[in-house]
Amino acid sequence: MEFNRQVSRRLHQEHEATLALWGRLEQALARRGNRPPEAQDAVLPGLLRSCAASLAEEVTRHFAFEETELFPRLAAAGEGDIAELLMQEHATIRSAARRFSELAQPAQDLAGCWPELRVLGLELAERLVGHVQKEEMSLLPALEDLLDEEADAELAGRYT
Amino acid sequence: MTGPFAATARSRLLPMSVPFRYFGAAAAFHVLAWAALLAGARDVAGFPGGLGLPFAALHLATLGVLAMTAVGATLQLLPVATRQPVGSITAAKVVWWLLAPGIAVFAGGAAVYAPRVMAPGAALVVAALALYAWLLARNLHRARGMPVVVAHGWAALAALVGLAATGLVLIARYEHGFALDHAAFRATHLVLATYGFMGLLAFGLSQFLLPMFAVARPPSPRAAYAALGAALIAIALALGAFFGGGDALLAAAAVTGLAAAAIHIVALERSLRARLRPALGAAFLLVRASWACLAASLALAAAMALGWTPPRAGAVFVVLLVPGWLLTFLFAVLQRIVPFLASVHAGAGAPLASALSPQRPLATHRVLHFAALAGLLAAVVLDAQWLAQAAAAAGLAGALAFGGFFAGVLLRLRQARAAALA
Repeated sequence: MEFNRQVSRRLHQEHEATLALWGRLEQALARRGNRPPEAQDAVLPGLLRSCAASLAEEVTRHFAFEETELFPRLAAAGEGDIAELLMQEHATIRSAARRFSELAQPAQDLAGCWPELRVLGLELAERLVGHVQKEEMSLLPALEDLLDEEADAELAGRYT
Repeated sequence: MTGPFAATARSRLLPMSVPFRYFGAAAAFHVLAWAALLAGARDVAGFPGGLGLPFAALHLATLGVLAMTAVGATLQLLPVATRQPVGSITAAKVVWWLLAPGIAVFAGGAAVYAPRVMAPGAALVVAALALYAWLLARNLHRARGMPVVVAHGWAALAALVGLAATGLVLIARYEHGFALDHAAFRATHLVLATYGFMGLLAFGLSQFLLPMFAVARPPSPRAAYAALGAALIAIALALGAFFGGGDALLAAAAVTGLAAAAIHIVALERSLRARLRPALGAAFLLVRASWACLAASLALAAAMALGWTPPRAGAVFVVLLVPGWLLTFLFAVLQRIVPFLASVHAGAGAPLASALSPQRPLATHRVLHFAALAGLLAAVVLDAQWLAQAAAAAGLAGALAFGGFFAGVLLRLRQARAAALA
């Protein structure tokens, strides 16, 4: 879908980047199964840390912007239940993300926490995919109607 | 929901009970369709048309499974695509209360060769479809998003009006013995129902559903409009052929339909190739098998129009078209949207869609559905009654497995809600 608003385009690009990163992790975790990465494997631990960093920075910023600037507009337009649903998903993702980020720290013994880390990684990948699907289907198209050019430019400027 | 954002009546998210009553009824009619076919298996290969168990089975599948799911799915999905809420939730519920008993009465009457019983059933079905058509037209008229899907919606709506009208004419003929070109009306009804209403909805909803499942960009609108245009030309040519246009026109219709299918499939395959989530999932096996059956049905139609008519080719065509293309595609989509919608309605700390989705019944359904389809095709080609019985039995077992999947999703959702409250 093509978006005309700057805010929608920006969020859409971030969705694509998130899905690409977590898609790679999901595939790597599925391939590895229950075997933790070997000591000489630098790729998978690096990917885990990239995902943790993405959660800590981009996803946090992205979620906060949606919650403070966009969901209230969605609710005011009569779509409070969709805003509520997306908000609840943010809470669930944040909760899983906190534990994932702890386990993906460089200081952690990956072999020791592998079963939990793997399950959490797969869960987060699925939750992020499902969440992005819902936002792409409901939030971003709604923004095309809800934001006029002025509001769009103002919000885009504020979302840095 | 009771959080900071209060739900309102204008929302595009329907109460869960609305789409799920349609999906549940479709799962039940699926079982009845295969049961009717099993009971009438000896008549399947040489079915000459007319009433009886194969006719009842066909309409339990087309009205009971396909139309029932189409109504439930579009009531929930079209508002998302069009950015318009459903006009009336009460009307959306009334459609079900007319449609479900109407189909049961209509199919029951057909099974026992009783047109007088079929007529009130058909009246209920037509009333349900008329109310649904009003909801659909209202939504499409006010649509603000996804013009490609909206265009397919209008085309499907036109086909729905035509199929209901021809269906009523055919019923009136059975009941009152009207003189009309029965073969032409029957063929028109079949084409409008399968390639028209269901096929165009499947084409349209595929434009956003399949990319959403695969996390991919939708196909280009140009390809989607080209496929829609070719499909509409093909349907118009076919109708012209049925009312005096002749076999050459019918062959042209089938070839144009094949071109529409090719554009649709190639565009979606390109979109899927660029997906962001590597694993497509088993549902896409069904999607691809359904596309193969769609293409095969059109190729066979073209061959038949050009004079290549092996024995029972018409029955092979119907098997490729209804269980092959439409049912296979529908169950691929249904197995993804049922857990997805259930997770949407699960509330705080929602379980994952995958955790709500029992995999064993789905795998069982997949194997048995393919076995039933292959067995039915072989039974018709070989004119083997025992094979038709075995295929229908496999289909029935597969339908029960799919019913088990649907019940399993509801059960897991209930458990998840209870756990969230505890």
